[in-house]
This record gives sequence, C-alpha cells and structure tokens, in this order.
Amino acid sequence: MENISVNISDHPQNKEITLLAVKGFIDTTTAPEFEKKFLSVLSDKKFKLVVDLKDVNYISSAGWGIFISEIKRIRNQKGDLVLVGMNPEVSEVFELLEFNTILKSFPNIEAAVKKGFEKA
Amino acid sequence: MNFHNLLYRLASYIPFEPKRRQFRLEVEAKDIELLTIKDFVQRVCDAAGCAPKETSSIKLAIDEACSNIIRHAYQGRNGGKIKLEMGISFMDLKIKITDYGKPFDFRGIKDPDLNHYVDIGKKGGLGIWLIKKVMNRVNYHAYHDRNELSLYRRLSKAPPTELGLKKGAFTVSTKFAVGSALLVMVLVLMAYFLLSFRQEGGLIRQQREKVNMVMQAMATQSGAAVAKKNDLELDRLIRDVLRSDKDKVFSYVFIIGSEGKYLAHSDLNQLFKPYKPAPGAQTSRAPGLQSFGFKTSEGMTTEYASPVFFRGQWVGEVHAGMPESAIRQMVSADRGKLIRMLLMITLVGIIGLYFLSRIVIKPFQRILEGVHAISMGDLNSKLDITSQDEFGQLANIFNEMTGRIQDSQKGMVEQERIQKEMQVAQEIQHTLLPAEFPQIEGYEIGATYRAAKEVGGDYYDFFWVNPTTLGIVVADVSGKGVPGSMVMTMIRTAMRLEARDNTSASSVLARVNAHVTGDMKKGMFVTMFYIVLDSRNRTINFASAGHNPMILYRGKTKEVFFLKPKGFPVGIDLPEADMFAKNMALQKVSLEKNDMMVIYTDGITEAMNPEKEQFGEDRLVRVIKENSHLTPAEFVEKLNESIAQFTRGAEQNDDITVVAIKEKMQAEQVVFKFRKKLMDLVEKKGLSVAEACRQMNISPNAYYRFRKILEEKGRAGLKPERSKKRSVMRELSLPQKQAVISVIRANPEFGAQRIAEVLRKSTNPMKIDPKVLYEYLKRKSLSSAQERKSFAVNEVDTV
Repeated sequence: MENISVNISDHPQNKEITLLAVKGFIDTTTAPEFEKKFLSVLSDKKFKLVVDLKDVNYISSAGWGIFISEIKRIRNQKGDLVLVGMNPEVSEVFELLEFNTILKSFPNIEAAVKKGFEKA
Repeated sequence: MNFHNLLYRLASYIPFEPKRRQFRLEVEAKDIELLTIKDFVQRVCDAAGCAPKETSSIKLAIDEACSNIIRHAYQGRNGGKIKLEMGISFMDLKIKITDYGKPFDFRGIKDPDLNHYVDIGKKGGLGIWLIKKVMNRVNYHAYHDRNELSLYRRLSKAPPTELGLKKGAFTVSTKFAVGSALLVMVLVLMAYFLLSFRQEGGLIRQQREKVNMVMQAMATQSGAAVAKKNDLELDRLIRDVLRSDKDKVFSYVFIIGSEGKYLAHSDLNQLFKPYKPAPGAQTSRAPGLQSFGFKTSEGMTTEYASPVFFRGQWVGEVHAGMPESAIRQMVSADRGKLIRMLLMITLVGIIGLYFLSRIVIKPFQRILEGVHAISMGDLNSKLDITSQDEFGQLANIFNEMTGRIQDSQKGMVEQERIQKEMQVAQEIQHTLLPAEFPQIEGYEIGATYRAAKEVGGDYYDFFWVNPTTLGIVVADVSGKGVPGSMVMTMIRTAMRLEARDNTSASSVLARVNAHVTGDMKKGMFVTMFYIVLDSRNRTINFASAGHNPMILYRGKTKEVFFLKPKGFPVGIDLPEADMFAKNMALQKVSLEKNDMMVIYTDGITEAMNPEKEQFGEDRLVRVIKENSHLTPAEFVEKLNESIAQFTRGAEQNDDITVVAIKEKMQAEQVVFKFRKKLMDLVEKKGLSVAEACRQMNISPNAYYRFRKILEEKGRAGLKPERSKKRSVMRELSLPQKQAVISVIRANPEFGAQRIAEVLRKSTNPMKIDPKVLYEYLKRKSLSSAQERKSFAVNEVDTV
C-alpha cells in the first residue's frame, strides 16, 4: 500500500535542519509507518525538524498524536518541530484541535528555516 | 460557538425531524475499509455540497469514529461490521455509525489537556475530542446488541436544490404534528370567541339579577331599622352586603332616611350627613328597583336605588353604586380564566397529538427503513411489526415480498450459472464449426448454421477424406449445453479420424458409432448424415444415422426425392455389437446440372412462427424448387430469408443447419479437365512423369494410356464419353411413393411388377423401375401380399 511516503533529507543550506517531506495521508493505517520514520530521525539525534506537509491531504488524530507526543523530547534537546505547507483542509483541523498553540507552522520551508528555530 | 451554531443547538431541542436524503454503507471492520468509508463520506459530502474544508473535517471525524470501532469495539478481531448511515437535511448532516462490538464509556471521556499530552508524551485518545470538535452534536447509545454513535453537523450552506430538501421538507410526523397543532389552535380560538361572547352577556345579566336580589333584600330587611333609625343595625346590614359581594361590584352602598340624611353608608365619613344625590339621580317613591347612570372620574357608574317601606309607609331609600370598571374587571378576570383553560387544552392537545402521531407514524418509519435497506441490497432485513392492524399487514406483505425477492435472486444466481454454462457450451460449439468452406473441384457447396438462443445440439463439418474426396457431416445431438458440446467434440474427433481414406459413408459412421457409444451418457444419442463427395469419380455416397432425410431436387425433371438410407442414431446401446453396422445402408447418387442436394437438421422444419406453426417440409421443398437455379451459397441465404420471414423474429428452440450441394460441371468435363492438367504438367511445366502422377494422385499406367489417346486422337480424345449409365435413382420420388401407396390400398395383392405396370398404364403415366419399387416395399415392410393386405386395412398413410 503506497498511501504514505516520507523523504528525509538535510536542508541544503543549513545542515542542522532535517527536512521530512511527507506524501499521502496520515491516518490509523499509515501512522505506524510515519511514526517509524519519524522516530528514526530522532534516534539519529536530529532535533531541528521541518515537516513538509505540502503533499499531505489528510491527517487524523493518530497523526497529530505523533507530533505532540514527541515535541517535549525535541524541545528538551534544544530542537523544535515545525510544520510547513499545510493545505487548507489540514490547517482547519490543526486549528480546530488547538495544535496551533503547541506547534509552529509556516507557509513554506524558507520561512520555517528563517524563523522556525529562532528561539531555540 | 457562533450564532448559527447556537441557533442549531437550540433547534435540535425541537422534537421535529426534517426530511433527509439517506445514504448507507456497510463494511467489515477492517483497516482497509477505512478507505472505502472515506470515499463514501466524500461522495455524500459532495452530494450535500460541502466545501472542501467541511468535507475534510467530516471525513476526519467519521474516520476517527470508525478507527475506534475497529481498534476498540472489535479489538482488531475480524468479522465485525460497521454500518454507516448519512442523512442530508436542509440544514444538517446526520451520521449514524452502528457497530456490534464492545460498548464504551462515551461520557467518561474528558476533553484532553493538550499540555498534559505534551508533558507526558501521550498521543492516543484525541479521536473523540476531534469528533466533538468537528460535530455540532454527538450522541452515543449502547443497546444490548449494538452501539450507535449519532453525529450531527450543521451545513454551512444549504444542500443543492436537486436533493429536494427545502426548508419546508419535514417528515410526515412533523407535518402531522404541526398541522394538528394548527387545527387545535383554530378550534380553541373559535371556542374562545364563542364562549367569551356568551360569557360576557351572561355575566352582565347575572350581575343585574344579583343586584336586584341584593337591593330587594336590603329594602325588605332594612324596613324596621330605617323606620326606627337604628343606624347600628343598618350599618351591620351594609357590612353584610359588602362582605357577601365577593366580586366587589359595589363601589358604595348607603341608606337614607325620610329626613334625607345618610342613615348608613359604606363610607363611614358620610354618616348622618345630608343626602347628596348623584348627578342625574331621579328617584321615585314607587316600589321597585330604579337605576340611573352618571359619570365619575373613573368612568361610568350605575346607581341602583330601591325605596324602603315600613308597614306600608315610605321610610327611606337604599342605594348602591356599581362602577362599570368593576364589571369590566370581572369580565376580564373571567376571560383570563377562559384563556388559561383554553391554553391548557391547546397544550395538552398538541402534545397528545404529537405523541399520537409518533405512534401512528413510527411503523411508517420502520417500513421506510426496511424499504431503504432493501433498496440498498440488504434483503435480510425484516420488518418487526407484529400488530394486527394495517401496519402489521403491510409489514407481513413486505416481509413476504422481500422473501420472494430473495428467492428470485437465488434463482437468478442459479440461472446465471446455467447461462454461463450455456455460454461455455456455445463457445466450445463455435470452435467446432468449420471456419471456411473447402473448395472441391466441380461441386459448389453452401452452408449455414444458426444457433438457437439456448445452445442447441447441431453440428456440421467438412474434411478431406483424400486429396480429391470431401466428407460432409451434419449432425444433431440430443443433449444440449455442456454435455451436448462434449459429445460433439467427441464425434468430431472420431469423424475426422475415421473418415481419413475411408470413402464409404456407412462404414465411417459405423466405426464412429463403435468409438463413441461406450462413452456417451445413457439416453443421449446423435443423428448424423454423412456424405462423401468424390470429385474425381463424380460419385456421391451417403449414409444416415437416424437423421432426417436429405432432399434431392432434380432440376431437369423437377422431381423431389427424400433420401433416407436406413440407420440407427449414433450412441444407442444396441443389443448386439454389430447391429449398427449391419443395419446401416449406403446409397449412391450422381448429380447433374441444376440438381441440388440439401442436408439439414430438424431445426429448419420445426422452426416456429409466433402462432406456433412449423415451417415444415412442404415449405422447405417449395423454397428448393423456386431457387434451384441459384448457387448453393445464394440458396442457403434465400432459405434463411424465408425462414426469417416465416418465424417473424420468434425465438427458436433449436439450431438450424443447412448444407446445400450442387454440381458445377458435368462429370465428363471434370475428367477432361483433369486429364488435360496432367498432360500439361509433363509437357508444359516439364515435370517428370513420376512427379506429375504423384501430384495428381494417379498411376503412371493411366498416364501412359492418356498419352496414347492424346497422340492418336488429339486433345478432344481426352474427353471421356458421356456415361451411358445415367444415374438411375434408386429411390422413388414423393409423388411416386404416394401413387404406389394408393395402388396398394386398391390392390394389396399386387406385387412390385404389377404395381409398376399399373402405374405405367395409368392416366398419368409413371415410369418406375420395379427393382427400385421392390426395395421401397421391402424397406416399408410391404414386400409380401400378407403385409400389404394388413396395411391396406389398418394403417394410416405414411410414405
């Protein structure tokens, strides 16, 4: 089942930052796959993460749960996780569930790299 | 929560259900089905005209709910079902998700504290919260056999008008309740006007009577006291009157004595003061109640006055003032009471009617649900209405109907299977039919095959017996479908094997029979007609295994012959092994120009028109006679047309197979052409004699014989002499047979010789070979005088 793919790469200019480009959707069926990839990045001690959701049309609670369950660990490591390129449908849920109070989001990768890790 | 959502929440408390366009989905509780569910929700949301964001949220909430069912209600076990029902109304989307797994404590789930999640790294349990966030209303109910989660989502814009869900679109029970409420209100309003009008009139009259009574009583009771000026007594009297005046209609009461002073007054300050008549007061000392009105600052007041007599002497007057406002107050108080009562009736009426309508409508809704379930293909759904009334009857009929639909569906599945089998059989059969006609020197062949709707058992085939001899077989298998096709395959293989290099039609059929009989199911058989066309010797021999006769039409004499050599059908279990071969006859025939041979199956003669008439042999013979000048290909085309004209599109039960054969060249010409070709091969193409003979399948001796003729007589010498022995028909034609039968009837003692003689000398002379006639009589078991006599007495004509 090719319902999700996660492409992990270092940001070309800023090697500290890791890009996770997700394609497909994240629901109960695909969340384990995504979580595996996500945790592998964390175990590589990479904590400045930009998750590109440009090609994601759907994220269920199982997906959101992964983000917020790990955010504390990431921030304790002086890193952060920022979301970019959410489409209107995904963004709607993001705000509805008040995740915008926990996670930062940006329209594109450039903005995220520029502003996303200021505090850290 | 915005204003619209608030309004929607409030509206949800109104117990009226709007009309909904329903969509249903039932899937197995498996992760893979979540995709099906998402697709389904997408379609419904599209139908409801939801914006992409709205759709996405709704999809998400339903996805969460269904994921929870798979994970928790069924705990990942297989075989569980999720039923999803979505109804679009003019204002909202109702989603009912039913599962049959473990119930869960919906109420016990609290809204999550996100910071807590972040702190402890928790990730589950957000689903319910998401559902609550997305939906405007969420109800969960665990029944003993199922759990129902009902979600309501207000639509941000009205659904497309095509759905027919305008604001007025309410359910029948809502319409009924609203309608009956309106009716109750109208009735109550009418009752109010009628009652209040009558009540006001009655009230005023009643008051007047009361005043009259009170005044009279006062006048009589106060007589002595007034005469004696006993003010204490009078005061008590007035207090009594005022006390008993519960409605407070009297604003004042006083009594004046003969001196014109107040002896008693409801207002004690006026006591013993001189009487001040009210404006317009006119009293007389005549007995009886008098009244007059005057205006005060509070409106009109009516004063009643009555003279008081003591021992027949006028001693004073009793007065009482009654302001109009008091009456009005009383009336309005009364009206208030009436209104309260009527409101009570209205309320009780409407509530009562609402519940009544629910009782009446409920069975309707259940029937509607049942019908809906069936329309979605769930034929197992039964209506559970056991009442003995019309609804119970309707439910019974409905259940019967679904039962019958279910049965017929099962029947349909069976039929489909049979149809599939038929299709396979048809495919097998089609591969068996020859793809193209072989070209054979000197003969023209035309054939047609038309399959009946259900696979019939016809089969025909052409194959080479040797390079110059063609075998043609037409057969009809008694069984249809796959078994028939199997037999056909068998026969085809056996025929092709046995026909090779065997130029005797009867011998081939006998050998084929020996091959297949053991392998054929009991009761199944095949009728076959097999012809061997020898293009070199220009002879045709044929045999029939119980097949219907071949028709031979002689173009020159316009005679029609039914050629039917003896023979049992193939596949019959005969008592003796060689009986089939022994019984089988072989006949020979030579064709001349304009002769036509037609081999067919009974599908043609039994072709039926809508009136159930059969095409019959007569029509077939007529078509042959009329079209004998055509080529066989044209002829079969023509025959097809005639049959189509006759049947007029009626469905045929049997396949139709026809093979027509005509002589293209005279036998001599063919031989001539052959000899010329042989010579040319050697002389013009330079082939060796041996090579040429091999190619033409002829012995070198024959070549040298022809060579000699050529050298002696030239090319013309190669032309063979016209055969003296013209093909004598070893068979009687139909009219001949009829004539023979009539002679036997008249003179059963006549043998073959005598019958032939009689017919030769008759008015319509017929030349019949006595030998042929004898063979015919023998075949018909009429060769002895004894047999003919008993035939003449008993039997019905059969030629």
